Amino acid sequence: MKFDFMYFLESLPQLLKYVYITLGVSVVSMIISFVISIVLVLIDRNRTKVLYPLSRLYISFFRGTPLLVQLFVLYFGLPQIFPEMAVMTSLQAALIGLSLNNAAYLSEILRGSLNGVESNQMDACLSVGMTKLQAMRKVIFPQAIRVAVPSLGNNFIGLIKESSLTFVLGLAEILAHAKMLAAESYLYMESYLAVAVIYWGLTVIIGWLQRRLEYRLEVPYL
Amino acid sequence: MISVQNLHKSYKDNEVLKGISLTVEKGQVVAIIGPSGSGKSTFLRCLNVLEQADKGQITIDDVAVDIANLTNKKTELLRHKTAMVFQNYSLFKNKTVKENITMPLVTVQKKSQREADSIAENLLAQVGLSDKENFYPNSLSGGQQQRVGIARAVALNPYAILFDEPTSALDPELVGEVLQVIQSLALSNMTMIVVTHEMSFARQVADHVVFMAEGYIVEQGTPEEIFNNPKQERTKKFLQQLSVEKQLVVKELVI
Repeated sequence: MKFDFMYFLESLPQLLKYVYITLGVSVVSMIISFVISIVLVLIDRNRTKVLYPLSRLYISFFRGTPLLVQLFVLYFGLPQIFPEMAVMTSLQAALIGLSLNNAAYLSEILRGSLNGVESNQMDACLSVGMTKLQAMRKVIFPQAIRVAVPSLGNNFIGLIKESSLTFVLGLAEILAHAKMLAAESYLYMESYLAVAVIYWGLTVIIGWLQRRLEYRLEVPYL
Repeated sequence: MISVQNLHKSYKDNEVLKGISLTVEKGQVVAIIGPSGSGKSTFLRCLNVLEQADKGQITIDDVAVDIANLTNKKTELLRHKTAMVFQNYSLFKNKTVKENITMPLVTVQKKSQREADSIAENLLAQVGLSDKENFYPNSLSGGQQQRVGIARAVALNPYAILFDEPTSALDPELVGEVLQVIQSLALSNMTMIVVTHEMSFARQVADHVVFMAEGYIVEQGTPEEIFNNPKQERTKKFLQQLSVEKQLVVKELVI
């Protein structure tokens, strides 16, 4: 069999050294996209003039085109039109691209979860004199998040894997390093299998954390 | 005093309130009765602007608003004058029993957590739920949830409490415990407007009974006047129908 098991094992710690880049890019993009998606969903709920059709256009574009294409447009396309954008690093481009893309998906998840919160909860908030914003923060959002967590976890797992696409921008995340190992050693199976195992391990851990979070959020409803 | 003048509300082509005018004195308990679809609940929800009426004037205590030029500020002021008890309890599901009461006090009325806690503990004792303060609404019976709903409303120390069919969603054997709490509130001189299907309760507790049908106030007066000597045909028909239904229920039980 032409499988160098030792090389496979040795490449694992080599790649793990760079896992912080993959995780870092994913976590930061998740946070930024979450913030953007909250803005999008508030616009959606209030049907804010002008902004509402723009937000639908945004969601339609970012859900309707491949992430890879979006990254190319952002990193290689835009600096051609706006030369001052050429200073953008591959890390910045990766963060911006992943965040903008993921926000479109997240806002749809949040929108669905918010619609699932019974309307009497808002009535109750208003009847005790809370403002709509207070109601969202204290009652509506916490209830929606509970419903959203399984989808959010799913989304985050997807984001971790999609972050591998950013190697095309020259970002040295784990897939990029796996490619380098493969190119050096010609041991493709070993290198790529190692990176696959690392992605898999990451998502298993996230899935486990997600279930713990779900359980905690379920407490008021047991 | 609560004073409503010529309140109108339509949903698209369906006019639900066709010019409601009503005065409620401080400390008065007003029961609103009538067939379903008569606009009772809508009227109540217009009073705290959960539904915005199309036109009319609403005055509660020192806040007077003309619906035609209602601002967010006015809406807020008006809402702060009342508290509401809902048919389906509408407790905050993600908050414990105690937090249901303290959260509005802290976020809206800017009371300290300690002060809010002591108000909540006090009221929960009054409605007999001290042992449930750290439970979540989901684990309580309907009657218990509604008593928390009432405690939440009372805690706000409003000018008036609006009850929207507070016992309609309850199992029959739980109705009593909730009515008892409302009755004791009435005795403490709280101003209340109660939309209800409990005729015996309206008769016993209300100072003033309003009969609504098809978006109008058909007749109003003391419980004595409405239940024993109704003047309008529509009122008579409604009360007759109720007593027929009651007899049918009794017959069924006997069989």
